[in-house]
Amino acid sequence: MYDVWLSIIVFIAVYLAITFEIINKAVAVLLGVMVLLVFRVVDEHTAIGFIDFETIMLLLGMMAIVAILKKTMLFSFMSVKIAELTQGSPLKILILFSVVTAFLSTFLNNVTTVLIVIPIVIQLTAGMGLDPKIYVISQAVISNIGGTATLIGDPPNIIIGSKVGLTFNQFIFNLAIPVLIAMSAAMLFIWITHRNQLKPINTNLTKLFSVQLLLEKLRNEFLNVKIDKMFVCKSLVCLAIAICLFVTQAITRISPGVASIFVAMLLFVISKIDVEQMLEEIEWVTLLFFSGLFALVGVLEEKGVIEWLAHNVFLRVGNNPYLMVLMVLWVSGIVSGLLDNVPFTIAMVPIVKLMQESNPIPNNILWWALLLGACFGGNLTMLGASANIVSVGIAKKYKYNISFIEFMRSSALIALITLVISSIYLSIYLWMSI
Amino acid sequence: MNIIEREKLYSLFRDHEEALGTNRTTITVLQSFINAVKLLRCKREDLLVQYVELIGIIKNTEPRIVPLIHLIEQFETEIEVYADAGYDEIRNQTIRILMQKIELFETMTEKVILAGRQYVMDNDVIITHSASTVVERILIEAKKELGRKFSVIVLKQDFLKTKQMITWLTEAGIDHIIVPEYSLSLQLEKATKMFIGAVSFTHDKQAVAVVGTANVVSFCHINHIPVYLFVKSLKFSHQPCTCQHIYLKVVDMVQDGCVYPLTTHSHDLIDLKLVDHLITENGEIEIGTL
Repeated sequence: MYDVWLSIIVFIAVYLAITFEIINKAVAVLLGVMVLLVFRVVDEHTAIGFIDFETIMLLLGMMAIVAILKKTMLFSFMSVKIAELTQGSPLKILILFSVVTAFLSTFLNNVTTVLIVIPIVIQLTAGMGLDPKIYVISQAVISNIGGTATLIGDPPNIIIGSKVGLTFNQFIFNLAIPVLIAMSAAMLFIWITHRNQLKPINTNLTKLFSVQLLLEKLRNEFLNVKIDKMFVCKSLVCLAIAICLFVTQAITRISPGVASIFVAMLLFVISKIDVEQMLEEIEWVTLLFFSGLFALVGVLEEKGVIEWLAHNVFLRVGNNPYLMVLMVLWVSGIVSGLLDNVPFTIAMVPIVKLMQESNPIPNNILWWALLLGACFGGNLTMLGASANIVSVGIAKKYKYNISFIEFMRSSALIALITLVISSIYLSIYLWMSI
Repeated sequence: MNIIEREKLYSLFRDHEEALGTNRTTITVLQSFINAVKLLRCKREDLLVQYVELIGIIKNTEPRIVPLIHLIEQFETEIEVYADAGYDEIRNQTIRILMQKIELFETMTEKVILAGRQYVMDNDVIITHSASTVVERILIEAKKELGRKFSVIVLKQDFLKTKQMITWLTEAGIDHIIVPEYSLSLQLEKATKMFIGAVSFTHDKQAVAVVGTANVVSFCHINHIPVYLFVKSLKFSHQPCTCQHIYLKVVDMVQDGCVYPLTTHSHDLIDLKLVDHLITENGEIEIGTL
């Protein structure tokens, strides 16, 4: 019993330390694991056995591929071209950048996406005399929604996909529709609530002139580097190979983790890039954080805490599949909005597995509920997703402070709307499947 | 346009001026004017009012971009003829006149380059300070067209500008070394000339140039290294240096726990007494005759 309580206390303490950023997240989880090892709650071999190496491999492989792709400057080039297409129309800026953000976040991680897009959006909107805050918030929100659509778009997807064995295609087929609807609804909501700021500027010569000067500045700032076309081609071909391997996973039997590391290594060799410099770009802190979390949750699972939670909280709702699905969706949505969604997802995977075993629900709908909740719920508050925090940080660098309340005022309603859309989608899907 | 928006726009002009130099900024501004007019959809009665507002902004940037002001003043005079014309006619004429101004400016630049490249001789060691389109082109053409054998000492200032200079010198195959601005004294034995450009040239015989230029020019002048200033006559201002709107900025700095307000200006003023040769599109002009 002492073991059980200690593992629960350590897990809660680590969770709070991560959420409120008391110490570095990787240090927090590894310290938690060390406490459990020192007090012999678990031995080191068992703790390492809990780590899901498929998830770690997929994360490592994708981080390496993205690090090289970023070096091609292709995404900055693309963003500047989009800025040119908008010609300073506030509505076009919102729509076109949202589409780009959603597209990029489907195969880059959301933090990388906002790091590429938001500096350009801020410079463009601020220079036009518009308030960049709403554009920053909308790009953060859209990156969280767009990233939901694919296996590699968001950390919860990678965790669920790897742990449960869901394929790249299953993600696309099952999530593309709710993601597209949610994205459209989010943009519509932003347009309705900020339509005064989204009026066209083509009646004002000075504003049009400012935009032209700004576009020239962006071209100088972001495109004033020589793009190595060969390097870009090699990187894109390798990305295409990685996606092909993900899509054909059922035929090739190559897991996404193996595929991504294989392609990353191939890219290292053919691009002749400085490997050591590229390895510095990989987020080792995140990888350590994931490894430690797997060990912490593994201990909880071994000690029967997860089973207790599943039986006494989640299975209390009874056998009604609709109630089960909606409860997983909304609980994960609300918790992910308030706390970090990565530890939550890792902790929820064994719970949902138990729920699935006791009351099988067809077509992995319970998993899609967990995923949609964890990803869309991240928009509830600024703390709900890493992309939100990073976006606010970039805005601050440009001297635009977005407070917690200010962010929530725009994002929380979008989170609720997208969760309602997910509820309707999952209910219809379940009704058609039963 | 309110004061904050106006300040933002001026800051944008400064960013261009710093990154591209006066020549390219002038062309960029004229081209942006043309593009803006093409996209504009307003009432006929608002059109000229909007022109007046934009022209007012362009003429009052901080610092003033004198060649641009001259070209815009010419545009104002020429477009006045069409004051009673229809909406489309005014727009078409605006685009035509502004295109002509760009062509005129480019022709004058070519002439300065043509005149300037004659001043590069074999075995010269030329000091350059900041990225200037004219100086850049003079050196490249002296190397490529005239086959002169010379080398360049680049005085390192902020990295972006120095990087630009390194890039074009390397691409043109011109021998060069990069030294910090403060180490110039050790290069004086080798140096034979200094080449600079300027934003404008004031009525009271001051050149407005990139920040840091004044120190280097003074140093070269004292050490009898001839200073060559390449400017188009369009850069000659009818006003004194006090009217050039040199931007003053006071920033609170924190270094090693010490907080202090740092006062900086966007550009330097160089007394023409320190300049030995002034070259325009019409060749060398005797400074004393100005």
